[in-house]
This record gives sequence, C-alpha cells and structure tokens, in this order.
Amino acid sequence: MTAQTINIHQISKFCAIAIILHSAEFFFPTPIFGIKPGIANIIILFTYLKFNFKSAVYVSLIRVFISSLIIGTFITPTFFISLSGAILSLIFLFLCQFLSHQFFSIYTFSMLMGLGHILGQFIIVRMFVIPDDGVFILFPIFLLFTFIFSLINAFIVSRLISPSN
Amino acid sequence: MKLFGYSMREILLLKLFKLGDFLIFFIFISIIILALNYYFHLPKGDYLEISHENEIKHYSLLQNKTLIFDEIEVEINMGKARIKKSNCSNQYCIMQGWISKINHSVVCIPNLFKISIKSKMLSYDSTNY
Repeated sequence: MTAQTINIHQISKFCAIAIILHSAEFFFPTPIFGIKPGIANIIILFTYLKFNFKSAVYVSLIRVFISSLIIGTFITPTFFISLSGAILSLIFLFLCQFLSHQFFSIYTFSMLMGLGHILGQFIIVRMFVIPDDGVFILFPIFLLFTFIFSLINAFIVSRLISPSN
Repeated sequence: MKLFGYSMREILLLKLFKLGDFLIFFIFISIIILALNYYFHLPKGDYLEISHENEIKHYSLLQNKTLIFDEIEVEINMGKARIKKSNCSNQYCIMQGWISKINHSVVCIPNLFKISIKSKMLSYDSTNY
C-alpha cells in the first residue's frame, strides 16, 4: 500500500468512529435543549494530533454530512447549525496551530474549539432561526457547559495519546 | 484520590496543564462571569403597560398601588408588579409572581388580560423578514 491509501484508510476509520459518536449523542437525553457533551470533538482533536490539520477537516466535515443523513436532519436548520459550528471550530483549530506548543496544551485547543463551535451555532441561530437578540440570554449557560465539557474531552484525548496506552 | 491513574496533585501541578492553559482558563472564566453578570442584571423597565378589554393603559412603576380591573387585582410595588388576585381556574398568572425587567410580561388568558413592563427607549421585541 502507498502512503496515500494508508492515509485514506485511517481517515475513514476515524470518520466512522466520529459518525457513531455524533449520532449516538443526538439521542442523548439532555436537561436543557441544545446542551450536548460534544464527544465527536474528541476524535477530531485526536485526528489533528495524530495526523495533521487537513485530516481533521476531512473527518469533521464528513462526520457532519453523514451523521445528518443517518439521523434524518439533512438540509434542516439543525444541519446548518451543526455545519457552521463545525466550520468555526475548525477555523479556531487552524489558528491554534500558531500557538506555541511549549505553553499551550490540548486543553487550550479543546476549549477554543468548543468556543468556536458555540459561536458558529449562535451566529447561524441569530441570523436565520431566531432573528432576535434574545437568544444571547442563553450564551452564558452554553459557555459554562462548553468550559466543563471541553475540559473533560481534552482529558480523554490526553489519555488516548499518552505513551502508556 | 486518583483519577484515571493521575493523582489530583499531578493534575493541578502542571503535569497535564501548561502555563498558557491557565491564561486561557482565566480568560474563559472571566467571560463566563461577565456574561452571567449581564444575565442577572438585565435593565429595569420604566412603566407598566396593562391591556384589558382592548384598551391599553400605562402606569408608573415607581409607586405602591393596587389597581382593580373587574375580577383582577394588579399590585405595583416600587419597580415591580404582579397579578395579585384573579378569578381564573388555574391561577397561572398569580404563580408567575413578580416581574421587573424590560419586556417581561404576565398574561391571564381566560380574562384576556396582560401586564408587561416597557422602557421609554425604543426596543424591538421581534423582527420579521
């Protein structure tokens, strides 16, 4: 096998895991509407660390498209909210590359990705779904849960990539 | 206490976190605190708008007064207002309690009655396009 086929093989493997996690998360019961742990982000961060930024983009976007087809939300508002969240989260990951790796660990990466995710979602919701400034009332609650869940996700990633595993 | 093989001391003492992470934590937490602060201190309203039998009336909020409209009693108490008494069966309007922030309102559907707090500044409660 050439290097390229190995790469495609690996990416599709991670895509499959991300799709399963994303779809399973959709059926999770949540106390407040819209608050989810974002466990698919674990796989995206892991792909970025294991391979490169380009593979993370592939995994993230394929994950959004395929899992929306499975759940049945393709081309609904939910899908566009999810897509914009994923894209802004990837932009934040791209900007994270320029941070010094001596001072910033994956905890920063995870938190900034989570922040990008909710920002992307809020932009789309404010523009098209609920065109009113009232949606920003929910912002502090989402920010708080992003903080908690991104720390947990980063901890899981740090366990996955640790040499003892 | 051990968490996934790490002791709490190792987690806290830069074993897992790096210096820049604490900077990001600090920024993140301060944003959360600022946002929560805004969330709990929404601007207060200027006057009370009561719509009853297709009529809209305005009352100042800076007074202690009980207004009586047929079956309903509305109480105003220095910046806040509530429905005190009503003859409707479910009494949901009374359970809503006090309101004091801009654009908050209490309605009593069986009596076609509504009180809401407004401000003098022009504000949109919805847009359409």
